[in-house]
Amino acid sequence: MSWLRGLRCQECGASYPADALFVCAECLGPLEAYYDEHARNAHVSHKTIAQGPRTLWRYHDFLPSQYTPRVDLSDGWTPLLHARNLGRALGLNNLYLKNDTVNPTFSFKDRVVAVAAAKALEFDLPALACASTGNLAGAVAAHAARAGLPAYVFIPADLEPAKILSAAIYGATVVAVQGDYDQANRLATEAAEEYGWGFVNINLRPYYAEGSKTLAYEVAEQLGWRAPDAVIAPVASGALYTKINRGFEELYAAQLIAGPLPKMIGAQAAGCAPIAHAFAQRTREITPVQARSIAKSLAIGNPADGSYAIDVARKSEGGIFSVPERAVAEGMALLARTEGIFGETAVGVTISVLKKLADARAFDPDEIVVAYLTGNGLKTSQALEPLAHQRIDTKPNLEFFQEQFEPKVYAVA
Amino acid sequence: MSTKIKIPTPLRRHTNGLSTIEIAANENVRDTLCTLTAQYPTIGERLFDSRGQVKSHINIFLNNEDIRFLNGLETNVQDGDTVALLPALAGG
Repeated sequence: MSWLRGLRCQECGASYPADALFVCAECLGPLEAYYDEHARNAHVSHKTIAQGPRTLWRYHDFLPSQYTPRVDLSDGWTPLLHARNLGRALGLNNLYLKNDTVNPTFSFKDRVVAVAAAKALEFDLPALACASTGNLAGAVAAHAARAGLPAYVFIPADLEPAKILSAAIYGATVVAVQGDYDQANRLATEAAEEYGWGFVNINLRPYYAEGSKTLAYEVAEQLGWRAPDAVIAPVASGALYTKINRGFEELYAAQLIAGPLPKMIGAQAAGCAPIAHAFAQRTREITPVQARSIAKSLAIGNPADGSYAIDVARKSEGGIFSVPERAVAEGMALLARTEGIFGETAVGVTISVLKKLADARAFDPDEIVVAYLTGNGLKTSQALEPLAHQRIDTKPNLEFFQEQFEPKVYAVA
Repeated sequence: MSTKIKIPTPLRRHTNGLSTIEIAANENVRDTLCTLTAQYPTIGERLFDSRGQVKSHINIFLNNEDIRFLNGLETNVQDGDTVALLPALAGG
């Protein structure tokens, strides 16, 4: 059963039934899902969760929609890896990586779409749609294909070709908008008023956003039901970041983990860092920017959840920080070379902010720190072109090869 | 000589259900919205906070351009322009 009770305005608190609504009719504030928490917390336990499937649906008691086989791609329950090599490089003995690059469409967006798509079927909506910086488009397209629904994805026209392909291959109609993400998003918001489709991040947004909470539940369970000391995640609209925090808060309220809750650290790239800028200026008023970042999945200049993200950063004693654009590819390479995981540009941003804080000794060396790796690097490989390749060109001849070749000797850990 | 104002669905109950309202052209976005609220008084408190500022979760566009990248509420409006009001939602 679902413990969902309805939707509530984050600004004025007005409540609504659990329909395909996303904006408060009183104040235009964003709506979010609320639950019968008292009854749910009395019901849920480590045991009830352990009995669930090895997907994000093991946490269905905390989600606004139900497991729906017709749209399920076995999303979530991704590995949590102890990062010994990267940890050594950063002076962190207990660094863990939540590897969401291995989701069905290679990013954490499968989580939010899984929840929104199940809701779209419940509402009997005729199509799935979204505005996207790329990863979401692929996730929507794949889940729509699985459900047998048409998909319409609105993207900025200059998106990485691999991201466009990874939506189009599933049969989605790709609407390439001549403009940036914020303009694609605006067109999609207007289109959502004209068509009765399920726009996962517009009219299904209150349900969609809840899927990100599973990133907190999984980490807590994989650590043996405890909260890490600090987590770091990339920040675009602020929705992922605030919902990871909400996930830990809910586990604490349900007495599934003890306190204290983690310090929440957010990561942005300098080319689009309106939330990091506001955090540094000690204000919760976000000044929109025209996004110009190589980390296109974070290039949201007008972040809808920015003020809420600032609230979380302050309350959790974490923070939201930015790194220069050149650090994006450096972070991708550092992770790949130390841990064998090829993350996308947003991951490069996350790793570089982590390194910046570790270099400044912001962590105790034994703290449990979890970095969220939210998407796969193959979709953003063009960001790496400036990096020198370690490559040897040779004739098919051993002597020729040996003339070119210098073996590497790595210290054994 | 007129300006079109596009009204989002959640606010149409304040405009007798109209999705587009055509009003006489004004000098700037602020005056345009003042004319709108004079005609449809209950929409005003949905758009502006107690200090007269546009609420942070509402975006205003003049011919597809966010007015915060223009001259804000003081942005000049030309005959035939379209002002669109939209709830702020993002999340790629």
